[in-house]
Amino acid sequence: MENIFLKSLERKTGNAALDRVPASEEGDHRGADIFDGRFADHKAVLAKLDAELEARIGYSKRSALAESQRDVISRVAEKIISSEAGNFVDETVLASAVELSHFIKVSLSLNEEMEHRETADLAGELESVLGNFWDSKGEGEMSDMGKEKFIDAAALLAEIESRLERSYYQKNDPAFPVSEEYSHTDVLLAQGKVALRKIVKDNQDFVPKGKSFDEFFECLRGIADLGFDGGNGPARKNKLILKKMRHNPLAFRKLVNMTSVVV
Amino acid sequence: MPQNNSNSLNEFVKDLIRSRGLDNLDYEIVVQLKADLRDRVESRVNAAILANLPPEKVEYFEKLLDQSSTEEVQSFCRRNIYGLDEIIANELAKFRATYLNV
Repeated sequence: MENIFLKSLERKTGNAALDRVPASEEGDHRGADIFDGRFADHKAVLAKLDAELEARIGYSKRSALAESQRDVISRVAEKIISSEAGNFVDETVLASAVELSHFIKVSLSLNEEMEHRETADLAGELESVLGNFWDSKGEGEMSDMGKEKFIDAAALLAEIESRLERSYYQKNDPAFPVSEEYSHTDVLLAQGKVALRKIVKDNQDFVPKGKSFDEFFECLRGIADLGFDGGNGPARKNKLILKKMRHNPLAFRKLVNMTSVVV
Repeated sequence: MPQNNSNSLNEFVKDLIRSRGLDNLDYEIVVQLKADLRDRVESRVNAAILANLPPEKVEYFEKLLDQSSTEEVQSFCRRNIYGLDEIIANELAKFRATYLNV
């Protein structure tokens, strides 16, 4: 099984990155002997990272994952690699990658657990979690949700939002039969994001180092979307193009704003 | 009356929220709701644009997204998708109908 972190780093920087030696306090050492030593250290750290991810997700599980699912995990790994200063993985990055792999593992487990539950049931659970949050929120105070509950709530939110998106392509989804459910769920999702964002503001360690709540939530959405190619949804190739279109909002928002047809 | 003001999408979303009576919620919730709905509407419109692009143009379109300016992308869509305005308007109308159950 390939080391996904090493592959991610190579994809991002090319093999040339592995040829560089980071500047030390004494200056930029590029001697072959030091290079060989640091290069060996660097690969060792990546191997350790990969082993940590494997320990959490499991080799057997990873080998059973569909290509689209491995892609998501690879993209998450790339985000880890690209978010840190420089192109080298040190123990700090390892620590945050371990954290993120924990989130991945928890989300995958939660997703498995949630897979067979009705959306209305999940929405009810989220409502209950958020209800407790809003009820206990005094003026300027946040309820003490705790990191594990925070992850659970965030993964639940991601799963529900993912299903809401999917329901458009699965028009006979019994979970969303009427518009009341749509707007009620939308409000719930908005409340959830506002609440969790506030919690992260006071508890930065609830998300991986250097990540905002929204970046972290996007990772969880990616995991919640794993394997969804069903219904009349866009094919996988088109999903990639749609993602690029999404990252080019000005182009398409202007097209909507310029439309001269009455809605 | 043609809607070609520069902020049509924001107004569309604002109108949906108002029609559902959701505009009297907490300010932060309404801001989030608008952002989420706007994202979702944009996703629908993007999917409709892609679905109506001739298949032989899709690969080039993808390259355009990586390399070109906003104006070039818009111009490409207008040149290669017949009835683009109507397609977008239909998608917005469908979204509205589903959301308001009309």
